[in-house]
Amino acid sequence: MYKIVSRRELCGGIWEYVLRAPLVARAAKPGQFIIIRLHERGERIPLGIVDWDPGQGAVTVVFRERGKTTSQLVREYCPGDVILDVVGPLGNPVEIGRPGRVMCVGEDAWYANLYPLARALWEGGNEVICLVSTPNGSFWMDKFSAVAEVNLIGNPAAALRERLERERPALVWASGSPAMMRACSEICGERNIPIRVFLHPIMLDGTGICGSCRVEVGGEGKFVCLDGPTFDGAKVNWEALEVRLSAYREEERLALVRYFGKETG
Amino acid sequence: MRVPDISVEVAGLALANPLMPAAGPLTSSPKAAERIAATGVGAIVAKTISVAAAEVPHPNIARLPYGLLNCELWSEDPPERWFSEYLPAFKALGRPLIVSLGYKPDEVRELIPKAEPFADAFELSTHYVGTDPRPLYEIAKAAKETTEKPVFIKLSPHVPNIEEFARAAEEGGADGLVAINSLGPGLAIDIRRRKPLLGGEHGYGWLSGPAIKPIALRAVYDVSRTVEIPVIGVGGIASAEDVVEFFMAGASAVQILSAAILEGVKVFSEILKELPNLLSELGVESLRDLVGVVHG
Repeated sequence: MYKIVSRRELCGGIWEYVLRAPLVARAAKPGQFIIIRLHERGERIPLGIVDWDPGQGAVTVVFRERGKTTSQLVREYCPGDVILDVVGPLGNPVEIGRPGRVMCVGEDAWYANLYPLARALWEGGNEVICLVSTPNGSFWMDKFSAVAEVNLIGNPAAALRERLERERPALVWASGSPAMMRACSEICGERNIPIRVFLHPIMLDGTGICGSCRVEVGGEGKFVCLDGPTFDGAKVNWEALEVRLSAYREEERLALVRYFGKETG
Repeated sequence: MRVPDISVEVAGLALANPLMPAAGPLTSSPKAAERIAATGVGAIVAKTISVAAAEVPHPNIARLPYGLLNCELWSEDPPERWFSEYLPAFKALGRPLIVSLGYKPDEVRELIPKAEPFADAFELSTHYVGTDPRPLYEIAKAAKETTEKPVFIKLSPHVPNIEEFARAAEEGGADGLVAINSLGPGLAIDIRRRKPLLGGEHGYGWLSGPAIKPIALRAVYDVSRTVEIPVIGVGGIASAEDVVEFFMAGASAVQILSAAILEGVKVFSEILKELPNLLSELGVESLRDLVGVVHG
């Protein structure tokens, strides 16, 4: 059982939850994620670990209220409540290194994934520029600006294209929808700039047993949970990823209808 | 022709160039300020310090098609941290440092002595948006009784007669003015959520960026024709052309914030690179020669 320490709505529909999970907080590294399950009959969903405090034994996740599980979390789980399972840290930590100038592009709740990365890059002596966007406002501008230059952009791909006209980073990171990461990967590909992306497919166990998170990278089958969650954006088969992500769209819709007792937007 | 001179002098402060970040998130911490200093700006203006840390609503800044809407307040860090840790680090950046303080006479009397060892000048903000200019006189007077360093007063664009407010600040002893603060309150609505875009009680925000540039230019024009003290122009500046426009309207230096958040802090170094070329093209030897040329 894992207690919810605090929560707040960062901007319209995007939530920050701080969970008490001391072992995860002690071991977490940039790029890693947890899988949570709210209750005995709950779905398992992966969430990036976007901040952590080993002293307080706390880990932070940021997500948009979208499907049944995130809706239930926001509507029924408040500080002091407990969620059944928190498993992690899962996935491979990002190898930070000394790439030099790094541009991080992010959209919506996914841009929180860039924060621990930007912090580690900055601590490693790299220059970090973060281009972030949501359809409604912004969040963590203060946290980001402590470790990176942060720009509040409109369309991520358009902004990346425009920035790459003016300066050339050694590496680009993207965290957003598959369509956004695909567009950014194509833009970097045209300019021969390496790009890394955060993938977030459907996941169940997070240990490579179930195979739900299989993606094709460089023509090879990879498990996002074991081999990822970050990959070379130029090598990802985006079409295959989008097909997999939409495999249960009808079931996801029905789960929401059942939860709310009616059709929702 | 020689390379045009872009150095300026404002209220006794000699600056290598006219650019500075406006008080706000660009200079909310030493790390953030270090990135701005690295672009080559002529001076640093720190984020506004008040007697207690601000509690800021969320979200507090949103991009709109024509600028930024924000309900940021003053610094979220406590003043003690600014005086013991941040301001010494800001000072070490080696640029003229303008410390921004708010918001009432008693508060600036309390804050100025603590910031004095680090500041080359002070910029004072007031929350005041009424019709009586007297509070500007009072805060300028309180500051000048406390420090001998230059004191700038930041003007809001909302007042019925901005010249009277400028004059009140000048009579109170202000050494310069900063025009303008962001415009508002305004409102933007998230139509899918049927709520204001920004947090806070009513979701109000203050507008900055390209949308307010003509209003800022007009304010600089009006104010600089009225008072003897210099004016620092701020509001929607994003290019070397914009800088020249503000100088022609009467500014002696300029501040930039929104463009750096919307387009990147590189905007400072890009303007610094472009400005001498533009002045050459205009046949101008020194930026100072342009101050108020449209006053006629």
